Amino acid sequence: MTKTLRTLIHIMLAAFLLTGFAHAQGNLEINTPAIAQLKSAMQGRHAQLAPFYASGAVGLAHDGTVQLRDASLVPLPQRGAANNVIAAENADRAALYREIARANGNPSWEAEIRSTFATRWIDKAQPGWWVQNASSVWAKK
Amino acid sequence: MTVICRQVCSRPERGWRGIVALASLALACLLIPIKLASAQQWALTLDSVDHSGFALRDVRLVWSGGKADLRLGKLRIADREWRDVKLSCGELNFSATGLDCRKGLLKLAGFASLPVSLSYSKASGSLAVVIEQASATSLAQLVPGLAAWKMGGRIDATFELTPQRVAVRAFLADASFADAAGNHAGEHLAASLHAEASRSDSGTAATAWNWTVDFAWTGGELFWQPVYLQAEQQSAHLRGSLDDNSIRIDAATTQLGKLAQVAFSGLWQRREQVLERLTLDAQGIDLDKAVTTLLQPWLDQSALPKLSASGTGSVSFEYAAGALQKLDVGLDSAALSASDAATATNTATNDDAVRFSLAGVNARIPWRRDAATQAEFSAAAGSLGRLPLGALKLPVSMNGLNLKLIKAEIPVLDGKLILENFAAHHDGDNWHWHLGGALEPIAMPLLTERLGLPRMNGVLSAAIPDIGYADGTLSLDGALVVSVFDGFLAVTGLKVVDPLGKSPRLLAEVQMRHLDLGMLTETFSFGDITGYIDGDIKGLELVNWRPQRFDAKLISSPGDYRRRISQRAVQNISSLGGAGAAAAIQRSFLNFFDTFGYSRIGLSCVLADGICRMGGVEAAPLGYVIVKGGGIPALNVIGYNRQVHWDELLSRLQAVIAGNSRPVIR
Repeated sequence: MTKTLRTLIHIMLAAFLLTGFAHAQGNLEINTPAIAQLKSAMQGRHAQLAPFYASGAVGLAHDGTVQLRDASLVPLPQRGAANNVIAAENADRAALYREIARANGNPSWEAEIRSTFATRWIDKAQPGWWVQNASSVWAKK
Repeated sequence: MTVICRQVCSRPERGWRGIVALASLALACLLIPIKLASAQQWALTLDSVDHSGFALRDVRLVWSGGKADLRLGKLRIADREWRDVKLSCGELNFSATGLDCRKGLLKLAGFASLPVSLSYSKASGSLAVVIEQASATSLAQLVPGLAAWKMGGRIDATFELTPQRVAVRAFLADASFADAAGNHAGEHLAASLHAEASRSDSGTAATAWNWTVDFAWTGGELFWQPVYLQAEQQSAHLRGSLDDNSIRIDAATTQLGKLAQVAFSGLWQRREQVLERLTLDAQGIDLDKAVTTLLQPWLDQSALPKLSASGTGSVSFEYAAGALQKLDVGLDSAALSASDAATATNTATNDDAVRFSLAGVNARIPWRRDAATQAEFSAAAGSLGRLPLGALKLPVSMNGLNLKLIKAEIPVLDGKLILENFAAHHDGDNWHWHLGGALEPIAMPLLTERLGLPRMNGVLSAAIPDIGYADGTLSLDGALVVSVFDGFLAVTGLKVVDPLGKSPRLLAEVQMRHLDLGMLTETFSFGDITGYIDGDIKGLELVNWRPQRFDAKLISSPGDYRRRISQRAVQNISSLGGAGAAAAIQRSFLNFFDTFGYSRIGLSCVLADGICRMGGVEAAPLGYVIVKGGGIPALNVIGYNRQVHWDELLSRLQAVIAGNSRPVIR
């Protein structure tokens, strides 16, 4: 029950993170079918990633990706699945930044959108999660 | 005392044999001081020992009360060099027949010490080295390339070296390893190794060895991105030979747990660094296990469908002269199925998730690089989406990279899919193939029931002129014609770019002619319309099977037939246009009659950027005419909404079909 509740909170948090950027440059809230599809895929995946954030195996990197920072925290039988979910998440994140830039009519904004998202994602990370500072050093939040 | 043994030790020996020679030398040197003095302590110092296989510098041996300490300032073996090597023997016994170092500790500067015992027999010329409970960490530090790996566990090993024979027995217990990224790792590993090599006295100048290796993996788990394996008594027995030019595996048999038995042999050319020949024969492959543990992890990396399989299979191949020469694949009473990646993780047993399946599969595929062969593939039954497939046979003629299939019939419900003149070839980079065929009539009531669609009458049949695949694009040459609703639907210019990729793109032109509106509207509970309709969808483009753009037009067929439209159909058409659409009649007038006459019906949609620009049979003030009245009583339905979001239009259509529409009538 509490697990379900926690998952729900995580999903809501992810949804909030994905939509809470109205003040940044350009319209980060812009919506297209492609963006909606990416957001929904990422929200669906969050439940799989959350335990890895909590254990410290996966952290939020300063380049707007998620990274496997300590593989030894993932038992061997789950390591392949962990790699896959991280790769899928990063592919969707890269696509999201690209799509938002494109939907704003400014593909060249991609890098800036990525860095804005990276900062906000790290800001909104739960206590206990691992995040990376600007010089790629990991720290527990 | 300084003894310079350079001349004595510089015999041109190769490899480990020199180690035996070194032991002999040590013994010889040890015997010298004994004759000189019978003191309780003595020391021996050598400046240098040079050998083709190794070199020593600053050798100092101190013996005292049964204990001995050997210190090497520098030890070089092949290209590796260690400084400050120490060997201390807790008990050193020596006599005229040999030397025995027990409770020894080997210590390299900066590394943990390695427990070791040595014994040398002068009579047999053999040197035995025993390593007991050595930590894998310290052993790994001695091996180049393993320094970056995290290692753990214990190793017991015995080495026996004679001039004619080398034997190694090693046992690994509770061992672990991991690379920095954790993509290659093992935990709780247990394994045993028994290897022997003996000199073959062939009389030739080149040194040749015959060797055998027995290996058993008895415990633990392994992850080698992306494959995860558990120990289940996997074992291997290899026999071969080794000389300066080549490594030859004469026979190897492996038992890969419950997965398969694999036998192989091969020849590796050491000078050219090429695999000259490899033959492999895998029998009794447990397909379920093979797919789950070996194949699926690779598919999961690309979010490809989930596969499952059962039954047994076999694979054997021969590789020689830089290419695959023959390949034999066999399947016995196998079952295969593929389901959607996303849904399969949640509901593995959900029938809807299964995209494709075959059961009772038997296959004999004997491929030869330079010969014509015949492959047999048969299945007792199968399914494609929700459609059941009957028994099928695919007799494929193979000749190198050219494949041909004259004709195959695949029963689908009460009809048949016929494939004809299939030909495929590989041009060195890509596969190209094409085929023709037909769909023999399938009863629509049966088909629609299976597909979970509203029941439709009639039959579905199609002619497939020529479908080709080249450069990642599936294209249809000619027209795919489907007989449906008493008329026909023709698809031309059909292309699917990257059909198995993440975002397949479909391009097509669609023509519909003389579709019976009565059957159509009855099927979709749209209200009754009597008559016929033609349609054209130009420039249809789907990305990931969702419409991106098209120019579609539906218009009542020309000709003389009865044209009536029911009150409910009028309401539904109106509601498709949204709140702005309306029937240009009074509600009372609409309610007064059940059906109305019409002269023309038409609706068009030009889709771009998610928005449908709508039109009708002709323009009307502020809108467009969807239904133009004719006969008695007649009425016009006018649409006023020129732009509708595609998603919105779809949901309206679904609402209409579900009977939940609330049309606005003025």
